Parts: sequence; structure tokens; C-alpha cells
Amino acid sequence: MPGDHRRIRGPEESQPPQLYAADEDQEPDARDPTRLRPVYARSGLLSQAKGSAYLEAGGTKVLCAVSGPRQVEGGERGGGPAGAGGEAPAALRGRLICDFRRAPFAGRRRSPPQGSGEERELALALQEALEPAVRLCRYPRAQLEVSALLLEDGGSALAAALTAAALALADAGIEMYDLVVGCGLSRAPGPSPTWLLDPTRLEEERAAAGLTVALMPVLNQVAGLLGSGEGGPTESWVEAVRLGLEGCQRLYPVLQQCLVRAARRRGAAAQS
Amino acid sequence: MASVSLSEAEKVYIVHGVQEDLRVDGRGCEDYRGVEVETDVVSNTSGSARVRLGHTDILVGVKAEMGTPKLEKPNEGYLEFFVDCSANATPEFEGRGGDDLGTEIANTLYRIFHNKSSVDLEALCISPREHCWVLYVDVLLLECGGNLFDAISIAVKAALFNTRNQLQANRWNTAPGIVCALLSPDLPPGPDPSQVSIADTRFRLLHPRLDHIDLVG
Repeated sequence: MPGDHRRIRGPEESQPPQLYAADEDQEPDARDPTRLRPVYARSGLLSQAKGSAYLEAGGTKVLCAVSGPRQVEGGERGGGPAGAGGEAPAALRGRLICDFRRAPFAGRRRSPPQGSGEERELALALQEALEPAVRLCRYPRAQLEVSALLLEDGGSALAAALTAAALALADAGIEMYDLVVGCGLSRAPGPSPTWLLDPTRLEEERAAAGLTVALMPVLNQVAGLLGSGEGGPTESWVEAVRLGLEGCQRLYPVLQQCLVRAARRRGAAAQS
Repeated sequence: MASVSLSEAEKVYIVHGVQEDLRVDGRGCEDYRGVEVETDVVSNTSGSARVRLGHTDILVGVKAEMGTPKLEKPNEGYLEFFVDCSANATPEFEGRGGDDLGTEIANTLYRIFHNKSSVDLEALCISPREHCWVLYVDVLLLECGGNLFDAISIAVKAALFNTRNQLQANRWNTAPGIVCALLSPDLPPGPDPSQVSIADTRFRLLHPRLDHIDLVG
């Protein structure tokens, strides 16, 4: 309103100053394409959740919590067709509901707290990758809720969320066939560059193609695969998947140790 | 088509048939059903297409509007996808049932059309940081008869091709002093169904090889 001096109205939209800053073109440093960043994993840290896990890999920090099993809301429609492997009918199997959220301060720009399409896509990817590992037939008419919160995005966010979610499910005592380990890859633009394992945020931003692989290490089965971009010929994608699977296998001992430590901690706390 | 419950014996019969490279409707494992593609079916859009793949019926409409480029990509236009799974397609989509599938398909379409080899986004820019073309692609599932991803990708590509054809016939006055003249390069029209969806394992391999949209501002 003209002449309204009580309210100071600034511009409606705000942008971070970095957009207008001089181009600081930092090239990501050359590195061994198969190096994995050191991982810190801890489970059983949230008191209010049935199971929880915190995973840090380089600059990526993910916190995951599991609650349930609890009764399915909304009621089930009558008995659906039975699953492929002779599992219990769909109405009797449990449901896994995944939620992926990015904290507003996670990326370089502030992202609004409401979910965007990308978060729903990643939540769907989480659910698709975790479902093969969880014994849902043991939780009839119940639902398990997994919620992943990305505190800081330093590259390979989906892979870290997958690993943290599997750890949290194991920490909650949910019956599983195997853990799920996630690994991210990216490929820089150019005629024939190599695939980089566990990319940092800089490498991911400059990437022409990205891929996330989810593996169940003991069963050696791929649980999920999500990738897009210009990856070159088909053989290059095959090589990327192979590299990702190796990375997942290398990560597995760290997660085993984390779960053992958490179990010991719980045992010691129960005794005292 | 309402969904049918199968007995165990029928399932075994189907699986044995597939192992002999013979599916229930007589096709081999790698045979496609006949595809019918029609473009320019809706008059109010900038481009449209309708694809029939067996019992699957998809209708896509593209509307080109002017908008502001995104801040991180000031030299590019962009595409917005919306997929509507209405209850006409199958009874399971009643109410909010089709929303999840619609979001999943829309997200997949974003991934496909987000790189340079699918659509030349820089050609959609009119003046950097100020004006660009935004293509709103709306997909309607009229009937769901299986293999949605393939049919939708063919339909979207046909609709985008039709958009280019329509726009190239006009000279648009976009803003005072700026006239947008559109050239027409030679592009072959054949849609390339290059997605394979294998239902049981839910494994989608997307390898887009689409032609460019060339709009010069």
C-alpha cells in the first residue's frame, strides 16, 4: 500500500548471494575412482523410535528412524492375488511405508520444507529397495514406517539413506532376510570418462550421469537400481553396476560392526 | 479390463508357456503388440498425440507457454509433466489410488527428458534470465492394458514432435521488439519405443534416443 510506513515490504522472492558471485569454478580433485569415503555409522540413538540409525559418509549425513509394526490405517481392500513366490496374499502381508525428507539447510540453496516430487521419487526408490529384504509376511495387516531425514547433502544421498534405513530396520528388530547396502556412482561429462564411486557433491553436480545401486550383500542380490543421464554405451552402465556392487560389499563389514556395538550397548544398559 | 484372479495351476501353465517362448496371446517373449500412433488429435493444444498399444490407450497434450527460466539454468527452458491416472483406466485408480502411479511415471519422465540428448532445452530459451518456453506435458491414461511406460514414452515423444511441427508454421510475437522465428530442420518422425519394462522384477531400463526440438528465438 503506498504510504504505509508501518510495514517494510521486501522483495517477494529471495535468492542466495552465491548465485550472483563470481564464478568460483572449483574442479573436483582427481582421485582414485574406486575410493569409498570413510563411513561413520551408529544405530540405536533415538529414544522415541523403535529403531534408528545415523550414517555419515564424507559430507553426507542421514538420520533414519523406524516405527511399527502398527495397525494399517484405512483398512485393506479384500484379499488380493497372492505374490509370485507363493507368499501370503497381499492383504495379509505387511506394508512398508517410506518417507524421504531433505532438511531445508541440506543443500546449497534453501529448499522449502514441503516435499517436492524428487523426495517422493526417492521415497519410492527406498521402498522398492527395502521391500525385498524385509519379511513382510511375518507382519500381517501391519505397517512399518521408515522415515529418512537428510541433514546435509554431500553426494550420494540416496545411497546413504538406503544404508541408514536398513540399519534402522535391523536395529528395530524387524525380521529381515539381509541388510541392504547402497552405493552411489557418477560419471563426468566427456567422451569416455570413468565412473566414480561414492561421488562428492561437486562431482555429482558436474556429472552427466548418476547411478545408485542397492545390494543385499550376503544373498548377493540387487535390491534396487536407480540411474539416469547420458552414460554412454550399454557396457559402460554394466561396468558401473559392477563397480557399485563391489563398493557395497566393501561397506558391509562396517555396518556389521555398528550393529554388534549397538547390541552390546543395549545389553549393557539392560543389565545395569 | 477387470483384473482376473488366477489359480495356481493357471499360473504354472503360463510360466511353462513363457519358458517355451509362447505367451498367452500367442506372442513370443520379445514380440510387441501393434502400436497405433495419432498426432494432432486435440485442437486446443500446441501438440498432442494418442497411442494405442493393445488395450492401453494414452492421450498426451502439450501446451507451450512463456515463463521465466529457472535460476540455476538461466539459458534453458524446461518441461513440466503431469500424469493423470483416472478411474476410467482401471477400477484400482478410483479416488486417490492412481496418484502414486502417476507421480512415479511423472518422475520417470522428468529423468528421461532432463538431459541434452533428449530435448535441446537451450533452444527453448527466448532471452536468457527473462523469458523461455515452458512445455507443459499432460498425460492422460484412458485405458490401462499393461506396459504403461512404453506407451507413455512413445506418446510423449510423438506429442513433442507434433509441437515442433505446429510451432514451425507460425511466427510468434513474444514481446515488443522480439519476434520468434522458428526454423524447421529435417527430423524423421518415427517414434522409437526404447524402453523395456519387465513387470515381475520391476526393472526399468531407459535408454532415450529422441530427436531434438529446435526452436530458435
